[in-house]
Amino acid sequence: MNTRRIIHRALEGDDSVLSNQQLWLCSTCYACQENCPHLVPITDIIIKLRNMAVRRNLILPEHLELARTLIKTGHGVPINKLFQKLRQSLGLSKNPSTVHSSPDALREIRTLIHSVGFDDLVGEKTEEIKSKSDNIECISEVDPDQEMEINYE
Amino acid sequence: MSEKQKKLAFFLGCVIPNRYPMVETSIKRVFAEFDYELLDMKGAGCCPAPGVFRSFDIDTWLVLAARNISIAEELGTDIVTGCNGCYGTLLEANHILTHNVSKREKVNQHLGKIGKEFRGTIRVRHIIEVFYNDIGVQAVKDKIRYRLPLKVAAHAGCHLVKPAGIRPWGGKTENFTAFDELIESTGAESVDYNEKNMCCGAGGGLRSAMKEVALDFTREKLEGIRQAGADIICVCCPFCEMQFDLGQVEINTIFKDLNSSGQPFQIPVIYYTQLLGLALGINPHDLGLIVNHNLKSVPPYTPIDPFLHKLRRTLSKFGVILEEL
Repeated sequence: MNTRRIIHRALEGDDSVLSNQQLWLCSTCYACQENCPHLVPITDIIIKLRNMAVRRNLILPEHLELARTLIKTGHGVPINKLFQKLRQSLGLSKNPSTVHSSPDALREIRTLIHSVGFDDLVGEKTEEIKSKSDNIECISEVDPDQEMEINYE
Repeated sequence: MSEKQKKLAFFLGCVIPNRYPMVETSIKRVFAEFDYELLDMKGAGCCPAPGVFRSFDIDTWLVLAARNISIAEELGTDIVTGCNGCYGTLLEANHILTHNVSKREKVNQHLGKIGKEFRGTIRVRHIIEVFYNDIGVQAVKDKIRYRLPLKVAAHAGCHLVKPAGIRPWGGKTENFTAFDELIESTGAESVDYNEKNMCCGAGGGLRSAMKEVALDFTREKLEGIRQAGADIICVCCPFCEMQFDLGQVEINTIFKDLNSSGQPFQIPVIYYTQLLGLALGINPHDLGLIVNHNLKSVPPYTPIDPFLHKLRRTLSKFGVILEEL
């Protein structure tokens, strides 16, 4: 993975960076961003590019599954029978006091997910919904609001 | 410190309650020892994870994080979490929404649909930060009953420390010592090792979709930890814990030929409050270190027996007599 090349290409408007699997090799550890002598928010740019990729349905199957697990359960890593037993053996409640104990909370999370449009983004129809034209963006065209977020440090 | 300041809303996240519940047990037990009341955050969900879900859609990440924060705002207390990922998400989302009015308005439009609101009235803390900045290393030392004769490889993890900007460590990233100091307060020695500040490899969606890449990070760290002669790896994040614990089993299978000494990795992985709890004199059963179940395929995946045997004299004081290894 060469982050410098990815960011250079993105700045030039080369949208092939979005389909390059290298974009997904970053562990988001922030070591490069913290050490960058020019204060380039490298990791935040990688995350922004990943957002753009996902909007074009360029998402790895394992990640798509993870996104759907979140919508289904409210957790990225949900409980199962084995771990319910482990919890009980430790003297804990069978389910944690999270969304796993509250159908109302799950409804709230799904309402928010639908309100933001994340269900459409990772739904089956993503490919048809997103036409290519409205997705051609490059990092230099982010709106000021988005830029603020990149620079929130 | 007033009663009110000693209450914290305990944000569980996903991996602690649903994969490493012994971490939940030990945090609750050890915080009680320091007179903290940890409140349940009823109905909280995934933080959502800063590496994966933020990578998929920043707006969704921000809105779901805001909902979690609003639960603690309703309780009127700061949040404390034992997971670096949850800490990263909630701390950063809280910062963005407190300082960026237009973002907050947008997020609150969504939250309004479920009768919630982000107000920006609380702080987000990590257990390590509460120990270090509120309780203090000296106060921890003062409570120690058993000094633990261990060489410990500390892995503080990334999101506890980086990016440094809004974190409470005085801008320290590569010279971060708070975790080592807290480990050494138990009488253990925090050893230096090669690539100590490196990521465990699990974050950013690597563990879920690029497992071999993730494990290659871990293997490199494990080589350094083994060379340093550490008895255990001590973590303060359940996702790092999973990566080192289950990861060693996976590495021993996948990287058989690349392992420099040819020996499988078998270094016990212990969460900080389990280590501290033992030094405080808390029964190892109450810390999830000694278990009374026969469940298979649950953590610890890398046996912690060598750790327990190293501490057999301490454990005997709790009536725990270990069989020969």
